[in-house]
Amino acid sequence: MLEPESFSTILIKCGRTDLRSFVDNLKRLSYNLEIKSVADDYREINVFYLNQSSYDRQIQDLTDNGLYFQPLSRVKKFDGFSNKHEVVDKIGENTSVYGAISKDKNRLKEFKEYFNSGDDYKMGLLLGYPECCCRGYLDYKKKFVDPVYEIAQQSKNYGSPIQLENIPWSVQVHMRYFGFKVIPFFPCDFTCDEAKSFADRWYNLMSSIDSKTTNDLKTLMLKPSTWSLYNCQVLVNRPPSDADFMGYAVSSYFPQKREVDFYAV
Amino acid sequence: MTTILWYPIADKCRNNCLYCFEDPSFKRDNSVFDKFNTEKMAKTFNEIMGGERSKNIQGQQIILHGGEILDLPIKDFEFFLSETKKYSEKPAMQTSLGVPLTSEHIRLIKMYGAEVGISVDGPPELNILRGPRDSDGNKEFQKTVSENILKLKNNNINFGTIVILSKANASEDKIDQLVDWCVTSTHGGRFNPLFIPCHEKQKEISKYALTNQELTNAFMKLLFAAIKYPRFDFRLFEEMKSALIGDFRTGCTFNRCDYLTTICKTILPDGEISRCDRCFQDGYYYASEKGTNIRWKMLEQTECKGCKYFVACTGGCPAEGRDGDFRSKTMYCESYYAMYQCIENILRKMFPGIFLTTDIHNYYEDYYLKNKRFNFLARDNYFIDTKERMENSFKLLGWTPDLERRDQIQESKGGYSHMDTNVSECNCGGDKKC
Repeated sequence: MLEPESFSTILIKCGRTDLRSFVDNLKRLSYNLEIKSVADDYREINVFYLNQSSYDRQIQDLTDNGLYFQPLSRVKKFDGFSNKHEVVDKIGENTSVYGAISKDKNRLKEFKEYFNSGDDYKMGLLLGYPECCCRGYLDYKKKFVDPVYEIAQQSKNYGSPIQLENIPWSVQVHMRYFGFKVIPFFPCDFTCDEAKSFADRWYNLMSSIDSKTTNDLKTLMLKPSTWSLYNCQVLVNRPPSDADFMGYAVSSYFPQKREVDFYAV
Repeated sequence: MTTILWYPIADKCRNNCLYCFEDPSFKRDNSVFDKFNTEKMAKTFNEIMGGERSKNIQGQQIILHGGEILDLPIKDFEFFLSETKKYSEKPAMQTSLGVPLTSEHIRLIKMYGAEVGISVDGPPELNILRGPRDSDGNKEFQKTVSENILKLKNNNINFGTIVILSKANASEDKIDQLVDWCVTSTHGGRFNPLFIPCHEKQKEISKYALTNQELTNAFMKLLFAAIKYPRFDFRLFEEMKSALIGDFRTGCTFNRCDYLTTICKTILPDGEISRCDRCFQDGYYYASEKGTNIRWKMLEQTECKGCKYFVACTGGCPAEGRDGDFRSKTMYCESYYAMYQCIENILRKMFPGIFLTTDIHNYYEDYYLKNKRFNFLARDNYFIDTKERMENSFKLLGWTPDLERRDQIQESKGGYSHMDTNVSECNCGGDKKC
């Protein structure tokens, strides 16, 4: 397996310059969601990145919401999306502090123990993810760090490309590279009821923070889309397609091409 | 070298060439752009150029391009030439000559000293993939093209050529006729293999794509023509030679082009920046705000792993990727490989002992990116063979042997001899006399 540097970007279709402000709004929404999901007791704990360039504002946000921060490791800063953490020794301009936030210090201590022992299953449960999806992730992780294709195979194990019809739009994770997602975890299956239920709660929370951006996200994720991985590069919405953007991200798999078509509802 | 394309016509091109890489569904009846906005386009252009009104900015090629630019209203045609002239002594334009050249066009071309490039695939009987698809329309188109070529010649306007090599003009039974026409009627230029776009229409286009064997044959004939006729320009030869001797500035094909940003910048009718027009096979998308080198980095470790010429070729143009996938290496890999092999042989026979990029491990990252080009006919022990054999010839050309220059030369670094382009490391003491 090759390990290229993290990278993701979108190319906006001509005439859709409004998507630029949508992407900015979505980033803001995601940040607020990370804090609010814990502050409003949607879950007990969440992961969080403290960045060099804005840690004063971030700490203020945590304080305002009555949250503690538990540092876990120093990682190389990444822009938007990364499949993995690159751990670094020293803190500098290009680093972030990866950690967890909670109202409960004991929970944070517990989370740190699981993190240090690499217990993804228990970390997932603490983060509030469905049990079946935490279990599923352990299997997927053994195969591949970016298991979109593997989950699609679980959902419908035939066809090339795999064509997934009538899956709930909100459990899709193949656009997460660009911040286009509702659920913050890999579902065990794109038809998982638990994941769908989690997504519904999350969608409501997102709408309460910024209903317009959440609606725009839904519109965008409801359109048919394609995902393909080749030579460690993911391409979402390879034209010709009706999508409003073409997405590109770096993954870490080669050499065979893997393709999934999504037709969400 | 960065290329900037003005692209005012975009999806409203009337030529309707068979192999156009824009999906037909984007065109005319289903137009993306209402009309071009000269003000916005000029603003973007000035931003790209840094707003400096200095002339002859090095490494920039600015071309009025895209669709059939002779279709532009004459005042707009002049507008784009005059905007380009602010930055370039010789504004360039590319046309398929599908619209009659008028005396006004001729006057403006002369007045602005424009360099004309024509996109023509040979004499009318070989140029059939260009122009309208119906028989009468195509005949009329070919007539216009021939008349326009004559007008350019009669007005002493030199022109370069972009020829698309396909089964229609470069198969074994046709390539000699094409080469003869190019040598006698043009100064040569670019000879690009037919590019098969990724959209649905490609099935029809791919029927005309040359096999790698046919393309290699066509390339070889053009190479021999370029050697035989000194004035005949075969740009691919130049680009490959440059890549082999460590100068990647001459073109984009072998220059590690990032498909998300591309070396070529296109100014769209709405004034936004898009990628190279070949990417319009995807439809019209704005360029990515950030780029990556992941394509060639991955190819180096996957499809192109172990290839002798990778440092010079880097997988070729991403838009030519196999199966329409830019993540893959060029579909014409075998032909480019054969050309590299041939040009390498020529260079090594001409200059025994010559050092090429293929001889040095990690040349691109360890040398080129650090602004260091090796002196491929240079002066230390690595080049003893060259010196011994050719010193007298070089002296006749004004070259001074190393021993006689020893006091002027900086010691070489890292085992190889370099022409270090980093001025701050020179020994001139800051007076820039070096």
